[in-house]
Amino acid sequence: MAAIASRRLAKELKEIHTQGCPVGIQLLSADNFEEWHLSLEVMGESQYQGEVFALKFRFESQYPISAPAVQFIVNERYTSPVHPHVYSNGHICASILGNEWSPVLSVIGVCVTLQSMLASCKKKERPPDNDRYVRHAPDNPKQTRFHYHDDTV
Amino acid sequence: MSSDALERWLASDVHDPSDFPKSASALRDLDASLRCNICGELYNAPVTLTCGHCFCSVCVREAIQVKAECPTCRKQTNESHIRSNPQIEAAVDGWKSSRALVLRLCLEEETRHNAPPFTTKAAAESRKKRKLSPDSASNSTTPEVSAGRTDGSTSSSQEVTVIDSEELVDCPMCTKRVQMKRINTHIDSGCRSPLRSDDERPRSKGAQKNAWSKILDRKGKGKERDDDWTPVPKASYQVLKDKQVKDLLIDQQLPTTGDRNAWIARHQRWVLIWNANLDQQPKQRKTISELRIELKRWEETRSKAKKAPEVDSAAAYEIANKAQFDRLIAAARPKKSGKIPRQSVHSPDDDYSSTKENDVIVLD
Repeated sequence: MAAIASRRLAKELKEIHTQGCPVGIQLLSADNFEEWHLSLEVMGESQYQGEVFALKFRFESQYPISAPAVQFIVNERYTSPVHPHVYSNGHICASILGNEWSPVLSVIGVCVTLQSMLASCKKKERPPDNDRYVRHAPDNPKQTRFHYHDDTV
Repeated sequence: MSSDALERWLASDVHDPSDFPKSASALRDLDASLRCNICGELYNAPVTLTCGHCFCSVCVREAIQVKAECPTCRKQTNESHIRSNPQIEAAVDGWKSSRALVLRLCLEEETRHNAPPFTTKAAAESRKKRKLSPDSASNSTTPEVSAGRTDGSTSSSQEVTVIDSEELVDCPMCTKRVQMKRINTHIDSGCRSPLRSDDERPRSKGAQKNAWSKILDRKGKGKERDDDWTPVPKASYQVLKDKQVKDLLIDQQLPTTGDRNAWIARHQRWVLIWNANLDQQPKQRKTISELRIELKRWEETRSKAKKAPEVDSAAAYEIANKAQFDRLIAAARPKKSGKIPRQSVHSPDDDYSSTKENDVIVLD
């Protein structure tokens, strides 16, 4: 891991430790600079009231120049939120995780964006091509080229 | 890295605005405002884009290589928009050398503020604190950083409305001023052709530098060094032959090990760090040998990162990726029996048509 990536992540971690996370976001684990887990909850009235999700961040050595690989964790404890941009395997179709990524964004910044993406959801449904995508999806969502067509939700 | 090691490392030398207590939020803001939003460090060779956003030169050059826009406001930009910012550099230098002191005073103030009203017990405590303070002072020795000289001579770009063929324009590759009528030959030659018509006979870099320093002899000192600090132009590698790429490296006295791709990556990185180094005040600049070491380190971490996914044990790899293999086998079976699944995402034609209805393509 490049020095810049680990220093930048160290700073982000330090900020989380001293300032805390925004409401609804919690750090579950950050034992190394390769993979972090955070929990995400939508506060206030929303389609996801009372549901808690977990996000997995994977960092490359080019972080923050290259985007982290972000997905919802799907296991015995957590599920993927039912949302038109979230596949049942946890992969997320969000432009800021792909071609709209900017190196000034951070882990917390991504969490807040995803939180608001869930909060603004009007109708809980899976993406139309969910089954097809999940069947062939690569392990790393960064290997998928998503088409960002809908900016309403 | 174990979690313990991580904590220790965090405590040691990673500085951040949150070092300052909450009560000193203005100092947090000040500290944050002198940091690059990409790397989170205090600005190193700060540069400004046309939108006014400021980054470390190396950081923004890397980011622009990936995407030609300002990382903060997404305004379109390119390398020729990069202007060094000596004023911010001076402010960062001043802050670097005073930060430790300000932080200590701030934390002392915080403890004094939080201490209970003055009683004999509190007095005893504060005596203890006073005893401790020389220790903490020696821990936070301020780094010796001389404030950079600012001559305020940032180059300002001029708007050119009508471009005459004699007129000088910025070369999009090397950002040098070139006559409009010569720009094509200039770019085709990998930015090596003479810049102006009166420059017909190619002069050596040294001669050029001498000529310029005669005209612009603003600061005599520091010029004695044999380092030739002129920006190195980017090259359009795709139009160059192998030998020409190799010559680029030889010109810069860089090693020519590896293949063409390695040469290009090396030259690209060298141009980046070289030009970023020029965005610093001469006093702060790294020497050529320091830059060479930096380049070498960069190549080492890069090759390490590439080697990472190597498979150590085939058996372990098979177990770890069993799910994926099973899925692939299951997906391949119907094909074998002659039935092509309706929703195949693997053929390019299918990919193309699927983009209209669905929002994903899986890259093979």
